[in-house]
Amino acid sequence: MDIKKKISRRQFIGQANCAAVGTASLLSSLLSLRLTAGAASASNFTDYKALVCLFLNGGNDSFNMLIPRQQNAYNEYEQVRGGVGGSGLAIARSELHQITSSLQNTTAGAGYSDFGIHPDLPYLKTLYDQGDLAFVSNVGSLIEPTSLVQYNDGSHPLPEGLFSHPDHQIHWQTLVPQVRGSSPKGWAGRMAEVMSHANQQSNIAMNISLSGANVLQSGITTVPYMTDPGGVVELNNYGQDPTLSLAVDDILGQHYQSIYSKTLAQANRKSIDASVAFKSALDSLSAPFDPTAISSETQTYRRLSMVSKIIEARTALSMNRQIFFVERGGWDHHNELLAPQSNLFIELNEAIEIFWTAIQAMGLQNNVVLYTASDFGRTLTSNGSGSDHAWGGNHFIISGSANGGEIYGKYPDLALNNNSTDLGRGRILPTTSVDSYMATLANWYGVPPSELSTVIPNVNNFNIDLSNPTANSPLAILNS
Amino acid sequence: MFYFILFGAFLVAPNYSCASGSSSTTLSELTSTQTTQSFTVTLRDGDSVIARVDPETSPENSIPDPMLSVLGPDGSSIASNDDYEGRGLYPQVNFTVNTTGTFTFAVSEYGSRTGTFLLNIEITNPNALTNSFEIIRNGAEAEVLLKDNFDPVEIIEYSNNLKIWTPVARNYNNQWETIYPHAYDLSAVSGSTDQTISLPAGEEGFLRKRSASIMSTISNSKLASRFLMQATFGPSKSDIENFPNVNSNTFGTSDFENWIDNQISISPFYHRAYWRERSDPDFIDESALPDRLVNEVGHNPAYGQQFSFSRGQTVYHTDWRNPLPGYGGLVDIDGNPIDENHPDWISATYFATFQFNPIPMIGLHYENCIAHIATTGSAPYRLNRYDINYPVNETKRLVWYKAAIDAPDQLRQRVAWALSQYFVVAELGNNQAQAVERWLNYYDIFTRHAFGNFRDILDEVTWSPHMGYYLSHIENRKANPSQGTYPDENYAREVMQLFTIGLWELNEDGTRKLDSNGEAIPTYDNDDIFEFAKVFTGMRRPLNRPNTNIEELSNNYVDPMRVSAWMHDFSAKELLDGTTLGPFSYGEQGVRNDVAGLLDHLFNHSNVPPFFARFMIQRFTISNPSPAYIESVAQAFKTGTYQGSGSGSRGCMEATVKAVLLHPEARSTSLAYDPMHGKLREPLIRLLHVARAFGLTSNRTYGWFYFKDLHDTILQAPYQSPSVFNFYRPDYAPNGVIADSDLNAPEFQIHNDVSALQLANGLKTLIDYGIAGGNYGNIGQRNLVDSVLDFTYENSISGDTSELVDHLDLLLCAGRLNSKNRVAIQTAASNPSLNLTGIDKVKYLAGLIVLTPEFNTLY
Repeated sequence: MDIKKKISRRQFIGQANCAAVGTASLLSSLLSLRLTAGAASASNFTDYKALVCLFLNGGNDSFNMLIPRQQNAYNEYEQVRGGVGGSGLAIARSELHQITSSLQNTTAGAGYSDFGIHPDLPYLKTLYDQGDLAFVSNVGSLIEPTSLVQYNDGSHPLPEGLFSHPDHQIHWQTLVPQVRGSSPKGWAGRMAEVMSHANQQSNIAMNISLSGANVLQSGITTVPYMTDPGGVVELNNYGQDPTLSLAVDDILGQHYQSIYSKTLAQANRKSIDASVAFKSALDSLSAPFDPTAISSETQTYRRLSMVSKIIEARTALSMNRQIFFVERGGWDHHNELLAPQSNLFIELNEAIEIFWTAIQAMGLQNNVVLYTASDFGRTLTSNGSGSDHAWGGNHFIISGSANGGEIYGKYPDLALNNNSTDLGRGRILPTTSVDSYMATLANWYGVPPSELSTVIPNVNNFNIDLSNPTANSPLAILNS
Repeated sequence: MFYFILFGAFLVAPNYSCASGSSSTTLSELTSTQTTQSFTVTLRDGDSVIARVDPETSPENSIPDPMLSVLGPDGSSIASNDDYEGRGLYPQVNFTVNTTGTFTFAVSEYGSRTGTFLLNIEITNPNALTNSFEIIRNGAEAEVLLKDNFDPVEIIEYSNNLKIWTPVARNYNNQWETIYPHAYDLSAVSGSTDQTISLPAGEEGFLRKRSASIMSTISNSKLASRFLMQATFGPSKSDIENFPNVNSNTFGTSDFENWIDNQISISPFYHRAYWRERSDPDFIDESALPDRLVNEVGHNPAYGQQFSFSRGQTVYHTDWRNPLPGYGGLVDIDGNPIDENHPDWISATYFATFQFNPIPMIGLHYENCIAHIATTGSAPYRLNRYDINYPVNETKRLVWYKAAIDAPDQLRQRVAWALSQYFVVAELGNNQAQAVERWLNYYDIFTRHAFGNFRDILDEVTWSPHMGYYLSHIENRKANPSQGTYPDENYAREVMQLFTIGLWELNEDGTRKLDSNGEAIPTYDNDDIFEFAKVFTGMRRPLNRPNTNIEELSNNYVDPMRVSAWMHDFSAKELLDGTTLGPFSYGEQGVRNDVAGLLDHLFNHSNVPPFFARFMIQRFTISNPSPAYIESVAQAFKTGTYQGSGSGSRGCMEATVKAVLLHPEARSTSLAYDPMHGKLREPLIRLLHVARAFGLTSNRTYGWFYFKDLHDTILQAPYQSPSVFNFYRPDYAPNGVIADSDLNAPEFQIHNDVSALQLANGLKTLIDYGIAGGNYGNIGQRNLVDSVLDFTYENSISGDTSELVDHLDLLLCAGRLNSKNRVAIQTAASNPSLNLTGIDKVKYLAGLIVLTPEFNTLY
């Protein structure tokens, strides 16, 4: 048995935090992170920017979110989805919220301009028409640009664990799809480390999760601060009983040998300290945060509402840069697609509208970006009443800084067995990498060009020209 | 003395750190351009330090007259020395640290000469484990001699940067073994019990040894308490006192096995039967026929109806002519008649409802509860003020909490709980949370087969319409190219990824198999999923029939799925090993052959024993089992026997469970000194441990324990995993020392900034008030104390704080509360300004103990 090889590889995983590296540049960029993390600390940030990731866990069937309206393209859509009504998965053309795209109406795009948004997402149309929302079409995890021919002949490296939930979810979050598992760490975690100088005065992590632990925000040395939509949870009596707090400090301050005890004590110490700081920051708002004032019961709204409160407390928290993670599950619509997806869209539409109204009221619409992520798109063909795991999917970015009112990335041909993107069953090969999509976010957020490949290791495989946002670079969605 | 290391090129390490209670020697050199070498070490308040510079073992290369100086974290000089008395020209400094921070040790040469030197730093701390290791240059050799029988625990760790150390080998109970995550080869030295460990050529790095030589004696009570923390939902005082032989001096492994055998013999607490019984006592047919499963509730023959049911050759004998019966009297949880003249019970509305529906409220099929509540009318009518209503979907959890807290078959319930985290069906993503009986029926697959056979579980899970609904293989049809539909792939994927073989080809010891390029080998790809999806077609929702579910208006998700051959894909399927399954002839039997054939194929895959073994070990004992432990459990699974017991059939759960709990790695106490050994306990089990330790008693008429919304607060509750991937992944690694060491700790995935404090507050609520919500705390309903703990015994010994802490330590920490924490806790509880006595003192002490790592982790 070849143990030596194995160890060599495993050690590499453990120590470089990255495994099975396809290219030397990836290795060097991840290894250099420790050196560069503090090195870019020279410049100071005075402005405020926040990224809000809305992760649709389970794989949103997003070819029912952004649909071609052009009659011939719609016909193909309708056919591959098995028609409207009955067991078909198609949405009636007449119900769509019509939008137009000039980018798509080119030979480089889909070749037509007429698109529709799902009937239960009217607010997206409003924002799109205002120029504050952009769609990104046929996005998926890739290692390098891959054509259907290259996919089939095996000549190009492909992401590990294609079409499986945990693999695709993690790939979206690590941006290192050649590695299975979370060892490369999340790109928002790496970005927080590169940008660690932005919030020098704060005790709270740059990454804040409203939905618990996640790969996206876990960096090599940092983890997100996790909070709760119900308000700040504190340790009972810690602030009121000095005898108790002294004993707790003693217990948590001990040096423990056991790695589990040590990790537990450190984590609880951090939780208590952060809750104290967080509570005092939220209490300092002119109208202190009152969780009971939230009327909507949907979890997306409750979480986004907490995000807007934290953004409101940005000065008290000494934050110049923040990244929020909000997850909504329930998108794995194998069994039944149309009604459950519709309900989720209604929830999203309402939550986003209220959230964005609050952001606008603070005058921060140019300082905040909300974007979607999801495991994958789903098969265009039906399994009877639902759809299965696939790959490329459609997404959107909301911000006053967006060059909105456009659909970026090429909208694919939806015809079954087409020779450009269909892997069979209407599994669409992505034509825009997640890297390209995230690169525009990282660039806007303030990652220097020299550090972009630290945050997005494969970025140079995709020839993204961020220095020239007005030319042919398709994903210059955000003005930095 | 022990000599290790060093292979490949030596790495000069300008920075390194070592833990308190350790001694390290490192080799470095001064050159014409590097005339001073500085080393930084993190020291803690209270550390005593002896540092000295010595010549290398081959002194001709060494610098002749080194100087050593130490700077504190603020740059101030702490100590310096040139020549130490009795050490010739070599320096030594001795000092005690009174602050925590990074100290710098600088070595330079008096006469500006060059050469090598050894810097040895010995740190002792009265509260830390004594470690020792030495680093000696050893050319390009990559072989280390592991001496036999030196200390009770010795651990060899590897590092390539002198910062992050990962374990590679371990000796406890007088046996060297490889340990996770690095399975280096061990081989025996002929003519000796020594062994060598082989390290890969071409690797650069260091090894060190940590060891513990002083072991304290551990009482039988503490051993029993620790075992009960692993095998039950938590020990009580009487559980410990009644443990086999706990008061005798012949205590040993056989006593643990006796306890297990006794547990297996206890008649199972079946969740569905209990729920039905509490729904209508007269529903139970006690006259179990030989072919009837005990939990499959039959009608009482006295009511004129009877059916029997068995699995495999599924046969029903049902009287279809009669409607669902269910006439019963007003009977409480113990079967005693309820006093209908009880003052709280008198309600015209209540009895009016009753008359029109002759099924009493206890058995009301479609009411929002399974006992004692009438919600008709404007106000609830109830037997006492604690009988607050709860949603019907909660009733499955009420039964679960009852089983976990009060059922005597604790081990069976723990095994079932573990299996329910493996074959997950959860409420999120399933809109039938209120149709309770199907959930209980599904859960009882695990209760029933807890000591049975894995293959039966896999079969029943696969055929369960409840699983079929969750992973959507129910009503799954063969491809219809003209309509463009294909079989659903969900179950085909998860049955491999999660329920049987996992993602990677494994050796029997759980390490990954590697191809000729040293790469791990995937077990399957999407083509296999596409192929196997065809197998899981033609499985349909069973027809409705009487007495499957109490809930009216609910379809039958209780019986196994039925078969429709016309929906099934009868083509031959290519299996993972390239062989072919089928084709079977058209018909129901052909479908059954197809499904059974694929399940057999997966069940017999060599991955299943180690894959399942690792999962079970993580649920019961430790997070990072050694290859030897995994292999032992895998072999018990494979052969069906462990130390002579078990069915002898592959998949035997009894043998598997015994191997998990009885293996030396689970039972040895010396491993308490291995920092990598142990686990963070599941938050739900920590909460229930406190409930059981102090005899939680319900205030409600029928004895329910209603923990509310634990999935929101502590992120773990029965039936409420966020997805089929359970509450946590087996390979989750929190940042910090665990991830750095390439180790895992699944439970930390749900230990976050919020849930950590919610759990601490929940434990405190339980101790101070009981199960309570609203203004009292965060684990109950409204401003109501649902259930209370009983501190009668603790109160009786509260006059002696030391005795009380000993008792709480035994009950909650298996007696391993460390001395520093003990002092901190006793000091707090003795603070005169608090003036604590009696139960208040008990609660204060218990409230602090549950914040210690000794309560929250297992070793």
